[in-house]
Amino acid sequence: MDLDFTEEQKQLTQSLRRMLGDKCGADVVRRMEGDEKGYPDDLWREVAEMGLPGLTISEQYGGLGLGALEQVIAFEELGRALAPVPLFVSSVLAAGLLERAGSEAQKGEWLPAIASGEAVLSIAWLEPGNSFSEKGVQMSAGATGDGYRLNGKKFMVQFAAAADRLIVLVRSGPNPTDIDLVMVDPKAKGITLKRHKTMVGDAQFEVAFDNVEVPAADRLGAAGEGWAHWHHVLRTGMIALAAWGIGCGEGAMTLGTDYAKEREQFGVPIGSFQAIAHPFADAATLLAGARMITLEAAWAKDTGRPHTRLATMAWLEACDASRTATKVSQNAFGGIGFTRDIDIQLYFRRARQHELSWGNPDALNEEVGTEVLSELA
Amino acid sequence: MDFDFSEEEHAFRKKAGEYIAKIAKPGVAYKPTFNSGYADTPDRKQFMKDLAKGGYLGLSWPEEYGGKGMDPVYDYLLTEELAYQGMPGSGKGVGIIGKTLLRRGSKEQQERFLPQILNAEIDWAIGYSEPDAGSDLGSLKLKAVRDGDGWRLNGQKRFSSSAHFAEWYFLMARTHPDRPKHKGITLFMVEMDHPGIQVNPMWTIDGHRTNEVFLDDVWVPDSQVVGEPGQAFYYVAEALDFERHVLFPLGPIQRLSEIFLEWLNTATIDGEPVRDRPEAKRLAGKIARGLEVCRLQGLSVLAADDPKVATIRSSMNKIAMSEFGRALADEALEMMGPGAWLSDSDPDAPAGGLYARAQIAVVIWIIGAGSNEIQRNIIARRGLGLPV
Ligand SMILES: Cc1cc2nc3c(=O)[nH]c(=O)nc-3n(C[C@H](O)[C@H](O)[C@H](O)COP(=O)(O)OP(=O)(O)OC[C@H]3O[C@@H](n4cnc5c(N)ncnc54)[C@H](O)[C@@H]3O)c2cc1C
Repeated sequence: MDLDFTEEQKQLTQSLRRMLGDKCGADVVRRMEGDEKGYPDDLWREVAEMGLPGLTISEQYGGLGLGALEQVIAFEELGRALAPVPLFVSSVLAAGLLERAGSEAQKGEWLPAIASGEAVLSIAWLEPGNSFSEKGVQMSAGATGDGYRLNGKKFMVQFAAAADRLIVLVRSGPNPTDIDLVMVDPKAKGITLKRHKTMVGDAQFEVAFDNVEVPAADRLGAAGEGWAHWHHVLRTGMIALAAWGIGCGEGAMTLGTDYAKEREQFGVPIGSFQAIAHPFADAATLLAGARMITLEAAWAKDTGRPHTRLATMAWLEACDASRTATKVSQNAFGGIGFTRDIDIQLYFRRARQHELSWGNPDALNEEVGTEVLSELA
Repeated sequence: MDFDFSEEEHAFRKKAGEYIAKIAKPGVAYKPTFNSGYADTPDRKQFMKDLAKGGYLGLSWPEEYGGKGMDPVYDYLLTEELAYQGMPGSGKGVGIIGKTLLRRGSKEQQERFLPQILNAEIDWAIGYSEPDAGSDLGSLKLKAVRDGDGWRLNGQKRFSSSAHFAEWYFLMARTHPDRPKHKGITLFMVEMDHPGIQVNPMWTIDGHRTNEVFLDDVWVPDSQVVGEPGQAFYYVAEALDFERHVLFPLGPIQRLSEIFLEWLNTATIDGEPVRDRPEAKRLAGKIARGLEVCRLQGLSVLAADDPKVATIRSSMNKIAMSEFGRALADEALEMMGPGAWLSDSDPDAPAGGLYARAQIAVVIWIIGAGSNEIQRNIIARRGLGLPV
């Protein structure tokens, strides 16, 4: 057993923290709220220069070929800085799907571009009125002779206006898992984007498809296997999501505890009150536990062990931890924390949205529990 | 980073587990609701002696003192295996007291006590708490007055577990009332059969015995003072920093979780399998996650090289374990429906009535060895730098 990072891993943390400290202050986070593109080009260039978009993409496709542990480091730092970059959808989800299901031609065309940061891909998964489950994918892919004709609506599509391609989950038949993955250019004829107004003001879009023709060659993987690929890639991606949530929680704790040491009421720092200090201690405990299970999931993945259940658990645990940490930190600021000028609210709102965005906790707990019980039977 | 134990470590735990199961007479194992407990019956004493005979005590002690000079990870593995099987823990003697003597004891004390500890010939009671000194241990009052080549002790202790069968008492007394309160306390080793010592039972709500102890003119020679007079508070804190993982092994909640999952998987209510209910699956998922997080909290205590980090980690571990235990007991009982309140002595109790008992036992997990409020103070102060 060895729970230490290697020297290289520690350096990655340090250099990322330094770069984000320089290039991604709260002003940048604020400026991106409501921005059409949703991320600043110069920050994205810096992120790309450090190799992050290709961090886990194999070297053969221009990536660094590093593991999930490095990914955890990266996302924890991005979360701490609330960095508005399309890294998760493009480099974790889209690249993950391409690596897993893509043809050689598709990989060759897109992975190097994603790895260098030149191309940004996003995912069109969720639909208005529908759930996170496979049942929620209802938008039909009407079969044409040699392809699909897409009609319907997706929503909560991140960075859609800036994306070079969307990977769209479409329904190809009546069985729950008759789902295919198709790649579509969001600028293609028949597609209209409508910007959502989210609680953090990030760039999410409704994407309406009106008779959008897609050739079969733009499908990822075999017909009918879309949901299995997606499910696996999203579960694995939960390692990165968990790390982001933990970073966000840690960032909030830094602001909150610093303020609790300075702000005085009744002639003493408010951090001397247990009603303030103890919730911070509980949040720190939750964050420490969540961080451990996230690292364990990453280690399991990197060493070829089964990891999707650990990843799901890590994500659930990280959600609890980041929600608690940001809530407690927000509370420590009292009334001033309710004003826009104070940065803690940036963390508070993002932790909540992040937690709601990628799955329903009840369903995820159920998924884990079903597996656990079936192993006993 | 590597979250797995090495092959040798796995093999050690397996071998220890087989040996433990072999030497334990029926009745030695407690139900898994207890935090392992200590040797309090002849069979349990014999078990500890056999454990010693197998070479399992003093694993991480230096070889010159009869130990094996092994990495502390082996103490952790042994403690976990003992706890998992519900056996008496070894951590009080070879851990807290033995390690304190190794670090702070005189040569003569080491020669006298260490072999007896290694062979499990003696049991210890720990006398820190008093009626007016619990969380605020530094305020303890039991008086020790200088008298010839020793000290004369008078006063009262409370919650001295094991005092009704232990041979030796490891206690703190106030020797220097004129000094600041944390600097006036001294650590003594006293024979429990001293005529000036009276031990009265205090019965706990989970069916155990702890004790109230009165000391009436108990003279203790200097040779039974540990380290420097006045330094006890520091020694005790130091011992805890190094031995915290032995106080809260995962074993009991691991067993409890496993037994409950088994119940969820096989029980029926209204003729329908409980496992088909969505809320049962959700609970199974939460238990699996909570248990794994607790296990990892324990590993981070073990892995912390810096004692300052270890202190914070072990406070976190204690909170995580005890709060998970409480949540688990609450949720399990609610899931069980009618009969959940049958005690573990009733043969019809669901899941052996363990949960009816566990919800009581968790009270002491939360309060004991420094209550969770005290742990939160430690984390807030030392971990987060808050002026609490
Ligand atoms: C079964 C059992 C076995 C025990 N075994 C031993 C033993 O072998 N040897 C031994 O020395 N002791 C032993 N103890 C004593 C145990 O360590 C104490 O009970 C514990 O430290 C709490 O002290 P207390 O009971 O005096 O509670 P108190 O200190 O009076 O605390 C009461 C409540 O106030 C809270 N509180 C206290 N101070 C603060 C604070 N600063 N901030 C916020 N909240 C606070 C506590 O968290 C608790 O909820 C045992 C206790 C029990 C019940």
